Amino acid sequence: MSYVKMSKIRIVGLRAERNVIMNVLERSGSFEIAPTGELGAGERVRETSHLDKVTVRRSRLGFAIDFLNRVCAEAGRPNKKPAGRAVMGYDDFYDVAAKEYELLAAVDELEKISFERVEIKSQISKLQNLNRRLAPYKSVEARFSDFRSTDSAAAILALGPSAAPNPLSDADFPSHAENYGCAEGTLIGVIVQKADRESALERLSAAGFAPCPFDGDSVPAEAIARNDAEIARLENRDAELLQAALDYNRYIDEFMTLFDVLGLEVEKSEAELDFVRTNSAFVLEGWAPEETAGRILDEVRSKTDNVVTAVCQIDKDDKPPTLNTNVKIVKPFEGITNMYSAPAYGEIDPNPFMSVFFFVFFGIILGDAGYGLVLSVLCFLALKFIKLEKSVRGMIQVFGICGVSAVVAGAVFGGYFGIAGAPALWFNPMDNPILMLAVSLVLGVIHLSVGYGINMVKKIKNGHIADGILSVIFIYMIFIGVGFFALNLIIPSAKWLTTAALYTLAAAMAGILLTNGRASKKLGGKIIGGLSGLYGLINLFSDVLSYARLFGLALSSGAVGLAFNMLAAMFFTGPVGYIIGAILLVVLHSLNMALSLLSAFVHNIRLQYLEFYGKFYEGGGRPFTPMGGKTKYVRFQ
Amino acid sequence: MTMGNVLGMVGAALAVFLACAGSAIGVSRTGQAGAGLLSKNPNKFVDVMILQALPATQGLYGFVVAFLAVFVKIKFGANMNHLTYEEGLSMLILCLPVGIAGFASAVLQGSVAVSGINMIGKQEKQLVKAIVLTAMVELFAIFAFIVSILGVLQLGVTA
Repeated sequence: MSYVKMSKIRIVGLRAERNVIMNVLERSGSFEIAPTGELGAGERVRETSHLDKVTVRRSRLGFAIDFLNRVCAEAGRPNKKPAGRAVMGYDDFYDVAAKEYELLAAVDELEKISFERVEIKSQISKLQNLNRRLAPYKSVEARFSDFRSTDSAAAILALGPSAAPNPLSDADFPSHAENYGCAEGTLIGVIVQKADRESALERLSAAGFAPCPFDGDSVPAEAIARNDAEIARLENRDAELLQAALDYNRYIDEFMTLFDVLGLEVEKSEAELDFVRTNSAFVLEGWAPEETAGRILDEVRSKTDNVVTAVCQIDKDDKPPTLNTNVKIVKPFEGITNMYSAPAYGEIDPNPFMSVFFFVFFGIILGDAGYGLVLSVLCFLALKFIKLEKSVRGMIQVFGICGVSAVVAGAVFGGYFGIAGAPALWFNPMDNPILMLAVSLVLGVIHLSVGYGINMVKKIKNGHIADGILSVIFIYMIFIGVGFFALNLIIPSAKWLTTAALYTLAAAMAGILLTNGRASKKLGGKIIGGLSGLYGLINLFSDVLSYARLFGLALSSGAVGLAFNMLAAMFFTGPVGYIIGAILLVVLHSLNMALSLLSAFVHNIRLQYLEFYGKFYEGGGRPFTPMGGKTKYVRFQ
Repeated sequence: MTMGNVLGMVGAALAVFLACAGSAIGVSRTGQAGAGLLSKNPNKFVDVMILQALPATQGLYGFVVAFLAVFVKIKFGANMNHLTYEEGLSMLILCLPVGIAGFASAVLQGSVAVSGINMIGKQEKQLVKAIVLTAMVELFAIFAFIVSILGVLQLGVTA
């Protein structure tokens, strides 16, 4: 419910013992490293050779994991995609780290295999290309080299378009032509006198014939067979290599773990670039929750004597990370705020308030008990049976919780899969739309009032008591005044309500006019500030009006459900009609539910971010990210 | 059938036709931009899908108004209501807000969604901001929808 106080820790140690100290900090799971502030002695050395080496090893492992996943998919037994990170203890983790030499040797082999397979693929495709080009000549039983010129005669083999006549038949020089069977076109062999060779070639090419480009010492069919044999050999070798690669798949879990081991090493080395250090010592700074800071430092001191630790004063310029503790049910909603901006350190945590309104608005927009139940059950099943990443898990939890809200809203407003005339605990918005609009606007006023209230508390906490009260009290008076007017509509005989409303509103406006320019020192500034405060009431009006979307969206999802039911009911005659109708109902309601869900999320966060957070929230904080948390495949116990 | 019924149904047709045409334009533009992004980065499918679905709601609003007008108010069919000329004309006029504002809002929301897709293509984790910017345009369609649906629902018609 509130933010966790952070301690700024400083550790001075020997560079030789860097790893020992860093490992303790990493294992604590609650230490975030920060760049060391300026100190009198020592310097920052941007020495990246170690970092570069580790980064290269890590990317080689990344390649190996990727390669193994690809070959396994190719072999028809794909590796299961890890649905979330494997949970692992630190000891197992470092057991894998100790095997780094062996694992990197395996990576080496995989790289060689990958390289050879690429080579083989390119050779095979080259040979296949060649065979495609050789194919038209396969019925020729002479060698390519037989088609050559002798002292007096010339033989030419040429390929032309299908069913083309012999282009030399009407030539003015003697020639002999032979047609070979060829599926791809017309293949002819011609013999002419050597002197006529050029003119023969000219005539041939004019008729679209091209002379054979091959001149090898083999019969075409033999050449093709030889290439086929070579392709088969290469394919065999490729299959062997695939098997060999698959063999290495037994390492994949360890590869993934080592990938993260090296990832942590990269993180540590990167952090080290920001340390101030001398030849033999370094200074490290970072953040830890106040209550664990002492324990972490004790742990560090227990590992080595050559270390100085301190909990430092937090300076004005420091930006401590934010860690909020919320009750379990609010926790998933933190993700929604963090998408906007994480709370600043020490700022009032908006999540407990936001989550309540998010819950209520979500239910009203979805507005159907049936949809809510389906949503909650689906989310529950997903959480139970699918391993999910933390951020996705949080979102599914939010939707699951909010499904309950839709069930309640559906019961209150009579929404059950859009069935017409379903009983409502309160009223049906289709029968009494104006009341639904009023309910939406009143919810909006409550939402805004809480936002203004938090703003007031925040200002008072910071010591600006008068400012806090003055900035909010008149807005509340306006809400109350308008509320009197609204009551007057319900109880028309009460004349005093109108009077009270008018006086309250007048007082509120006078108050704004007189006090809104309080920040300005000059009289002119005060007047302008007051007037702009009055003008700002238009914004307040549009803020409240913005909540009319709750009404519109609730009505639209209900009315669409109703319409879809009527559509499906048109089919309800005869057994076939009932089947078609039932399928139609499922499809259409799924569509409506999906679109309503989208609205329930999108318009809800808009109301939270703009109307609510706009009143008090600063954000700009940085969520607490302890060392060792940024792993890809492995998560620590 | 009375002239009033005809006018009312013209209104319903305009509501669904204009709003759905606008949504079709908006969704298709967003889809084209989305396909471009997906060709480079297939992992963004869910993000693109969400942004593409945003301009679809206006069509739904038009559909709802038209449906209520034709099937709940006029009760189109063998025993339909007989709207007077004035009632029919009122219904036509009340259908116009959701049709026209829905059309404009869907087309323009599509443009913002296209920009949103460009944004998430260039920047990681900006989906929510893109959604909020896009959702802004929707408010005006919602206002028009509220006026249309309140009007149509509250309109007294001759049985």
